[in-house]
Amino acid sequence: MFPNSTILGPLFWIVMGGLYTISFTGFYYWITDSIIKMNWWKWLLSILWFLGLNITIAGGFTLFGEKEIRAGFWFLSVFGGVFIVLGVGLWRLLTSR
Amino acid sequence: MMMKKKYRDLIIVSGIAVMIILAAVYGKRRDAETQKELIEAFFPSSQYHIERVNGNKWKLSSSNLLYSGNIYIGEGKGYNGAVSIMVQTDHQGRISQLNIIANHETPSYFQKLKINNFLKTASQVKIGDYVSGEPIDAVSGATITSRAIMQGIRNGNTKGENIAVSNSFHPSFGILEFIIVALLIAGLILQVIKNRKIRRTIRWTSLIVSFAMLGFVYNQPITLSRIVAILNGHFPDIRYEFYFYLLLGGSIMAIIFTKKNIYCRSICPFSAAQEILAKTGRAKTFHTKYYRRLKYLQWGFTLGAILLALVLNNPGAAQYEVFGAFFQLTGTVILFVVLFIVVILSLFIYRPWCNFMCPMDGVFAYVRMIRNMISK
Amino acid sequence: MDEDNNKFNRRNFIKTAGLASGVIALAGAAGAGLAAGSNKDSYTGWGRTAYGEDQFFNRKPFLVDTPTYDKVGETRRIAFIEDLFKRNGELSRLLFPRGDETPLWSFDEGVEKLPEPLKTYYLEHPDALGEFRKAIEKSQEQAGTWDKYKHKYLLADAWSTAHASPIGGQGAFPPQPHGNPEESDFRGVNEETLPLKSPAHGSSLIKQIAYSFGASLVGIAKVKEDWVYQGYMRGVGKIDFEVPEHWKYAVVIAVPHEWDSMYANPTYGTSYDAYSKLRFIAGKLEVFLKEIGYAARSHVPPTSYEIAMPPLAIDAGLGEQGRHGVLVTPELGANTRLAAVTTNMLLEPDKPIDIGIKEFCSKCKICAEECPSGAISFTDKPENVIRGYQRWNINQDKCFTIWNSVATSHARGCRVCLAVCPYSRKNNWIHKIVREVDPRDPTGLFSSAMLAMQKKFFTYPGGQEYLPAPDGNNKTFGEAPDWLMTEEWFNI
Ligand code: SF4
Ligand code: SF4
Repeated sequence: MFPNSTILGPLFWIVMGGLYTISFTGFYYWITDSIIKMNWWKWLLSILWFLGLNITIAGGFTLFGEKEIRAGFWFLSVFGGVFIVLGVGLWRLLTSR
Repeated sequence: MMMKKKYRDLIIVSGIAVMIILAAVYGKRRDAETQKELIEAFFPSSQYHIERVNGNKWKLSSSNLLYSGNIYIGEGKGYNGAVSIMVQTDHQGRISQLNIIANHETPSYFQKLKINNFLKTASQVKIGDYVSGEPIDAVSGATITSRAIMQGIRNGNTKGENIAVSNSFHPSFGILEFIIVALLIAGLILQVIKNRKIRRTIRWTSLIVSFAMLGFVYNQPITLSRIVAILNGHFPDIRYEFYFYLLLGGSIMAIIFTKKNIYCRSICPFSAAQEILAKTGRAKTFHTKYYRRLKYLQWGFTLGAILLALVLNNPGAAQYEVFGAFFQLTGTVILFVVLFIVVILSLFIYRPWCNFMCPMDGVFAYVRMIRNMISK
Repeated sequence: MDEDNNKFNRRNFIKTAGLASGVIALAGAAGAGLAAGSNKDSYTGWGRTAYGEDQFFNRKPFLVDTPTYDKVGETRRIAFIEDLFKRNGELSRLLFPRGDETPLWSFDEGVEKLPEPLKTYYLEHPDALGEFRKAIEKSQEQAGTWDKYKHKYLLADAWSTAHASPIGGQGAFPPQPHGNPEESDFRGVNEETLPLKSPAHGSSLIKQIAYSFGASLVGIAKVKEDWVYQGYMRGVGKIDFEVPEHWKYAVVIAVPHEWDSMYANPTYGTSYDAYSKLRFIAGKLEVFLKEIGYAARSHVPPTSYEIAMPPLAIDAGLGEQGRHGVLVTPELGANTRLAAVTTNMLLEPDKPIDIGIKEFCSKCKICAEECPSGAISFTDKPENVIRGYQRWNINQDKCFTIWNSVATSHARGCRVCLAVCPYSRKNNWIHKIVREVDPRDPTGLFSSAMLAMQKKFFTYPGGQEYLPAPDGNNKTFGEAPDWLMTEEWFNI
């Protein structure tokens, strides 16, 4: 990750872990404060969606890193578009009933 | 009052028809002139001596008489109309040059062929080998265009040399044709069945089948450029594209006999895509008091595109649908931007493409107008 | 009351912070992705460690008993004249003899006047001679136009020449064998041989040693007669020979080209980076084997072989043959260059693998579309039967003409087919997922989807574009690395 340092890499992932924890907790509070009723598969779908979004973005940028700029843009717009659609669908699902 | 409306319709219908005919005639004449110049451009008279044998064959010799051969000119039926091929052969019938002198194909198909070295491969076969069939494989993804090129080579050769070929009519009835017939029947059934539940099942089955098969697998929706090609007098080759006659013919028949546009309701694969998106985002119908005016704008745009394509004699120019971009990821950047917007809008607005942009809407509306006029 | 308030504030704070963190985490994912993509550790064979750590593909699930090439008839050995370089070499010696001697043969004299075995070969392959003539014409053209490109490609050419320096002439390593293999391969062998614990120990040891010398992949195969050339033996000359007794096993070694330059073929890449690596690895392995008491002979590129490498490597379980005739391995794709050491040490051979490359190639055809010479077949299934094996076959002569046509200082290769092959991928997570999932998917849907993405998302210039003007525009498949672009460092 950081080619000239052996310590920044692990630190980066610790910070990332922290960020994911905070965002998950925050999401949990948002949900419990709202009228949305969650159950196990709703949680699962939400987490999968966020994970997928992360992977899509990381994937697009990996291609950028490989200097495959065009491929990166295609990857981001096609799968990004799919994730926006899925996100809206998921939101409707969470808020239904 | 009744009389007046009929009058108005008559003016609109015939006005549009006249405009289309004028544009087509103009485009044709322009094309003929440019074609003649083109042929001369390949073999300048300073180096070559050209002698016309018939409409398809020319004798060619270099001015210093060291070289002699033939030129054949033939037409093949491409996706959007004729593809004219000029073949230069030596005295042994080996192809030494293969040129496309005129075509109306969508550039992306040609790009495919170029990448595929198709012309190079095609020119490595003797011209005689094209008489009996297709000696090289069509390029997948540009099948019709590659076939058109081979057909053009054959055509020029057989007509130029007066070789008899049996061009019998064998419409192929494959999976695609079967699906289309099934979709048409389902569309008609929808008109008569009253039970809501059954209607919903039939409609959604149709939509999903069309989405998967007509959309992703075959990518064969009706497109404006094909309509223009027909207006231009280029009917698709019935041997390979029987399905197209079924699809277009069936949809028009349905309008004539049931007054309903079944194509857009349950057959068009992109309408299926929008329906699915609408379900996903629980889209609402977009109500506006400008609805009529927006409709006229949509139809006017379509008419403009048709006329422009006819004048340019290039059906590909009329293609502004996002179908290709959605199902096959082909098209220009602008089309992709439009597609992206349409997809996102479809989540919230019910079928924005059909209601405000799709050119087929105007085409079918025109057919219905004629139908209503006649039935009255 | 106060506590409640605090709790409420904390809750609100985390709600906001959570939203922000989510966004930052996404940015972090983007950064991690960017780093993964540009990480030099993903350059298999050129990364931080010679042992590669995570580069290896687990072959266990894909081991098969019969190799993936199809035997369909009477098989036979390869006549040396069937090798393009040997054949062209013979012809060149006739056309351009050393010194000022007059040519021993010219094209105008026709095939009939050629000495054997050239005569028979060219009578059987009527187009090949014309293609060679074209290649010579092209090479003169190439030399003429090089002036135009020599500044643009100065660094690439220098880099290539540097890599080529240990290959030819007196100082070449490994030195060419001389004398019969029965002498040559035993010269300097330690007289004392310790008892080997088991063939498996032998294989394992030799692999470790080869890795330590810098090999990226190592496999072991029994030497199969069909792969041994006939009619020419290094150190002896043109003779017909039986496969020597002591060529029992072959240690097959693979390394990749440097990745960035390889993607920038045909003008920026070179064959010699991998070749010189291979020569050092195989040459050292030969010495090592002799030191521990076994006969050994290295077979190294560009032309110092008695054995055809790709089928041997298939036997050794390194990979399968692709449409472009090149060996495709799971780790390196088509960016795989090969050498081997034959030995009489008792080794345990590896099993061949089947990861479905033939099925993929029948759908893909990218290399055939991109090949500037049209040498690669478009057929869905392999249709040629070559010496009793049904396989894809490229038109070597046409390929060679292109070497003489691209904008390089002399005919030193094209390699576009290696660059464009979707299997030729570096070692980062995204390609790793594909690499691992694809061979495990029996439906082929995954590979079809990947192929569609490959063709859609990546730019392919297309056959002719790789050539210099007027036929093309000197395109490369990938962008050249800046350290090979002269204009980045010098004013030109
Ligand atoms: S090296 Fe170049 S010319 Fe030869 S087969 Fe590969 S792509 Fe074609
Ligand atoms: S480019 Fe495609 S067809 Fe060619 S060898 Fe690679 S996978 Fe096979």
